[in-house]
Amino acid sequence: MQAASAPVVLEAPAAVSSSPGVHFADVYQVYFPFVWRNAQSLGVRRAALDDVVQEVFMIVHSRLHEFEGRSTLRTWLSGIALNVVRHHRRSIERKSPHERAALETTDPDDLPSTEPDPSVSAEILEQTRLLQQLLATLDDEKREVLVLADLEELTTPEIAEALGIKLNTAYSRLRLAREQFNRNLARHRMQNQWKHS
Amino acid sequence: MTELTPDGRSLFASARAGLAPSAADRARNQQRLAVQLGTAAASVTESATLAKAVTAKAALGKGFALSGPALAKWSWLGLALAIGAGIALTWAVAPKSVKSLTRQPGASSTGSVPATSPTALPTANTNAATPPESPPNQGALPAPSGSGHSALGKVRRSSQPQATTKASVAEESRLLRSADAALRDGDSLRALALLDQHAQQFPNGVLAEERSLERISTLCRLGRTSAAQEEFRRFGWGDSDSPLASVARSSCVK
Repeated sequence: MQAASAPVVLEAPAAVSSSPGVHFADVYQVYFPFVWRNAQSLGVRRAALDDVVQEVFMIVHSRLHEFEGRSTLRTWLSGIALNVVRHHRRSIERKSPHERAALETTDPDDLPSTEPDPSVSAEILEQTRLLQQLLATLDDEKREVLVLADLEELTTPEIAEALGIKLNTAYSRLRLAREQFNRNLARHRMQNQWKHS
Repeated sequence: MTELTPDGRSLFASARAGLAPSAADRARNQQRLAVQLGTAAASVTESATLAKAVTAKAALGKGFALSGPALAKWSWLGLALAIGAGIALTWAVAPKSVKSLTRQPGASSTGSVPATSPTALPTANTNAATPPESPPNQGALPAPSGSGHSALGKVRRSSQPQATTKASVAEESRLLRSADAALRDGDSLRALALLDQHAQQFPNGVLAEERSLERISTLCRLGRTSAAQEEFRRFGWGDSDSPLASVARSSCVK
């Protein structure tokens, strides 16, 4: 294991990568948007988003000293975020239909603000909603690889590492996910065209 | 390897912006994390005691009153925010040496919890580049109405009397959340008024950075680009190495 004091280079922002080691506060500042986006795109609903993201960073905080630097920090974080999201999904599935319905109908006014920045254009919001709809049509395995590959732009070896699967499995899963996504998007566009023709 | 269609790639590119957290999301989550880690690492310093004391007061005073089925869930969030206020306060009054965002090399590599004290956590206004001291008296000066605040990026917290700060953090958070909600509801003028109110009440508040970001967004929404640019310049976002600076730079001021 790598000693906590040993230098570990974070990818991306210079402010972080110039640090002599991995510091939790820096990790949080730099990767909060990444984890936030990841959780949403993996299907965590608004009502639970804060809780899930907090849980991810609580784990990061307690385990950062275990980070060995054998993978990128982003890959390591992706693995943690995936596990937390999966656990969250399972906990939702265990709830009774009545409890799940209650979750769906939580008063939006009671929820914390999780809307994107107001300066984000309506077109981007519409595109984002469409993407989330399409992602929801995929099964969890395909959704995860697609999000990591095409939203977070991880390489396939990084995805394999984050998911704990073989490289060939990652390639195969990603191919199938993209094929299904492309089909669903084309179908959506055709339906839309037909409605407005 | 099968690739996405250009249409699909465009969707993912848009989603990177569309799924980004807002300034309010960041502020709220940073406060909560400070609370959680403060609790986890508790008993470390007297700052925890201070946080709890403020918590009890703020929770009773503000109440974060909710009713119905949401009560159980959100009353604890209110409590958490109140504790966050205490932690943020601790941050605000802690000496510079304690505010370091870094874990010291070699520190606690074997423990189950890294040696990050609550005061070293990323609070809602974390900015390692903030100058340690500010000129006297500026902290007590309310900003002129309309302009929001004056040179807030450079003068904050350390010049603020502690008593004022103690009572203020939860209220600061409430004002900013209200402004953000107003902006999302399309009521930009109300958002601006709330931000002005925040600036007058808390010219050197711990959430001054978030307020500036919110103000820039609001001015952009109103089409007041030159005012947004003025705010950008006044707060010093151009030179800031704050993680929030990239958000400011990507607004209409660019």
